[in-house]
Amino acid sequence: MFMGDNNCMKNLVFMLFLVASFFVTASSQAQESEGPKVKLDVAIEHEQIVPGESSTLAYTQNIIPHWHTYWKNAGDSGEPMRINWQDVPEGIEIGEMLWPVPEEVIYDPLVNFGYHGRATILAPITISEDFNEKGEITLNGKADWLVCQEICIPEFQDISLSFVVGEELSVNQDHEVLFEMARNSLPKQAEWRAEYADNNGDLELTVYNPDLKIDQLFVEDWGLIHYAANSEIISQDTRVTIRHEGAHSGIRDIEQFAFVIVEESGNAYRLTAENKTEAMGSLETGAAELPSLVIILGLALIGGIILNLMPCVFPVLSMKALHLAQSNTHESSDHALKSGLAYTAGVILSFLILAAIMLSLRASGAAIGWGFQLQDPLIVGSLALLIFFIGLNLSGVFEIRLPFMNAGSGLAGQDGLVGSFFTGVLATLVATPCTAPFMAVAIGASLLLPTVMALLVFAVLGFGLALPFLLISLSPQIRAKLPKPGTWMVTFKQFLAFPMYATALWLIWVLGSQGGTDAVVVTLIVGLAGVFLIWVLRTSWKIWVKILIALVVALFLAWQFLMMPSSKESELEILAYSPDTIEEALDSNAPVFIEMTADWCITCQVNKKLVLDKPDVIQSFLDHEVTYIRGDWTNRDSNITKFLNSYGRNGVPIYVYYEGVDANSDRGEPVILPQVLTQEKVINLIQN
Amino acid sequence: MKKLGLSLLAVVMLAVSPVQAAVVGEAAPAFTGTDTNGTAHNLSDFAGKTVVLEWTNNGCPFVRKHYDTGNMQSAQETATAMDDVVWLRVISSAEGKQGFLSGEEANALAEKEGVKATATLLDPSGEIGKAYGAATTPHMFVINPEGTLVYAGAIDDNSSYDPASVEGATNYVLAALESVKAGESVDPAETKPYGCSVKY
Repeated sequence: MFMGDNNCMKNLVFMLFLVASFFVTASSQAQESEGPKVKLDVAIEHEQIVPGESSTLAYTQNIIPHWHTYWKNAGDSGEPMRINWQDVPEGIEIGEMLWPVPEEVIYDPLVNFGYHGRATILAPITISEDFNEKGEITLNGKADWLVCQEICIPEFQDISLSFVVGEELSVNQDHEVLFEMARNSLPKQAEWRAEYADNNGDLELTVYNPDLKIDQLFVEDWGLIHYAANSEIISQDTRVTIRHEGAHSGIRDIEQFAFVIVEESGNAYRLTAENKTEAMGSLETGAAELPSLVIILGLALIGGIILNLMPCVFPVLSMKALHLAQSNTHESSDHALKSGLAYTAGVILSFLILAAIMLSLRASGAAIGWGFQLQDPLIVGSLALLIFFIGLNLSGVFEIRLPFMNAGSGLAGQDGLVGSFFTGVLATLVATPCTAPFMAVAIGASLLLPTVMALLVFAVLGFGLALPFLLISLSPQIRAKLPKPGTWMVTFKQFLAFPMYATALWLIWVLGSQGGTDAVVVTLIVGLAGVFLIWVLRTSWKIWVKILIALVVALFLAWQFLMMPSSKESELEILAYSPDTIEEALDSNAPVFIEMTADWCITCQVNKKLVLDKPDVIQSFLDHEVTYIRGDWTNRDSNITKFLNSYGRNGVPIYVYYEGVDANSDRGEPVILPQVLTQEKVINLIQN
Repeated sequence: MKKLGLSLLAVVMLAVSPVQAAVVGEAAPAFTGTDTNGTAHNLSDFAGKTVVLEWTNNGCPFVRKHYDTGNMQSAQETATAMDDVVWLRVISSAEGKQGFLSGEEANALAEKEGVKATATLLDPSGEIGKAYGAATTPHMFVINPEGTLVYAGAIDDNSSYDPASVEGATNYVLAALESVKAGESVDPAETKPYGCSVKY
């Protein structure tokens, strides 16, 4: 019992001590309001200076705890220190102040930039060569500054400075450490190319040094950006872009501005950014910007051409090939040219519409990527049916002739310009998810460009897709080389139905994993109804009977579409990808293999079947205890989109491999595998 | 083309609630505020009149410079003597912070200092201040009879706290009022405000 009481007493004493010390602290803080908050020391680096030479001044602010002074750009409020030397003799020049890297001082919603504790501001001082006054020089002046905690107090102080103008330059040993530390606190002047653009009120500031790990941005001039706005930092191939959501309109009217960036490591650099707002908008790209733009557009063109070879585009294009082969017989060159142009217009317009939808959805915050149009079960189902009916048409099951179509059947199957146009639309819709490697790079890059430029990239992609057929339609010589028409064409046409059925099958499979069995059954019912309707139309019944039956069927279809289930959110991931999974995996020492895939991505499925699912590859993963993470992008998943963006990609597949590490050492840079895998490549990578 | 690779994405959120400052040349943000006598004022009440907004904090040395020298009061007097000009002072200091005043305190102080403003709005929630992006005391805004913000920034061109500096300084607000009256565009329409931070 005595022991217990003793402890109680001890606790009580301790509590009293705490309370007492709290009051002491509080009262000492209350006393702060008396006397200056900042004591300014002025020093010069050299005690003796030779005419023609220069030295450096140091203004050291010693700020009492909790209070702050301001950087050269104080931010939303506040004032930087001002120095006013009086009666400076002619021949002595004191230059502009060099400010150490500031810190952010936030009084929500105001953001200020300044210093706590201690800050040394430097300024060059130069003695001109013809300065002939020898001996000690004393300068006098006034300094004033604003110092704030919650409240602000303007303070001023008389300052003076002495040095000798003599025969030799001699450093003041007492101040060596001060100047060394002060210089270390200044941002390093860097020469990397930097440019900025005002993109609809966002500042996009790009520094051409990909290795920077930027943490903070400080703009030296007041009134250019909205300080409290959010920033996003995107590292890319050759550069880092800071996207700051709040630029003032004045930023368009200046040619350049100076800024300081601070890296995560604390390293700070001072740079100047050139205004590229105008150049980007009007396409008057400067010589420096041109190469990268040409490369991006060139890749977009090549990517578009490659799309012609993708398995999911081939059926549509084969139809177009058939169409052109026919045109050789009964259409004039003029008509071939027109239909080629209509097709091109259809492709480019569809690309632009898809791009515009994607860009505007992204702008509104939705995380989506290319191929998003296949993430909606309704669209996938409709596409499957459309392609199925085109297949039926090619098989010769039916031919529909409607008054406004001069020949052919189905929008994309008809001969006229409208038909060519819709063939282009269809090609685009089905082609886009098959992200060819070049296309991924071009799209990734385009997302960082201003909107007009991004749309240009997509237009060029579309042009690339349309190009082979445009060339054929432009050139009678090429068309003359196509095989002569004959009965073989009927056989060829019927054969072409099979790629269409295969495509429909694939889309149904995609649909199955998006909307489940229900969606598939609904789609198949619609298909059945469609085939039934075709049969009805081909009977010799009276027209009003046909119309009545058609109406009943249409109502039935409408009801079915209303019942169609909507997309399910990422429940179907086989091995769940999430940012946390990756982080955990990378925290371990084991190697990590990340696969991003989607059911509608043919390349992904081919890689999976022919490489990743092969026993040798799986064994190799097992042998090296590789952590295998799979992300499924069949349905929208913003985390995966972010992941893809972080590797500069905008579509699947992507395969990323992190080597295993020894305990406690850091992860190296990851290896990004090619989009077309081979077993050897994967196994070699893992074994090395 | 170099292989695209080894790039990283880092998202840095400079996470503070953004001040969506009013933009010069666009419609001034609407507001309703209660003055020191409990009367509600809506910006739309003053349609057809030129409205001056002055952010103030009686504890701020920069505000003191303009009131102790009588500079602000004389500007208020000149402005309100013009046809259809309304001068509203706004106190956005939160309760417990410097410059926060009750209606009675503010009235007593205004009488003592000879304030000539039309009214003083109490905005302890900071709602009006944040709508306008008021950052400093003083921070001045001029709204033309059509409701467009035509001036935002400092009271004058001398940001010193030295009381003597009011002599010979160019008063941007009075210049803006003259321009509005003459039907000319305001120049400068935007300046860097100076003073203490608003105590939200």
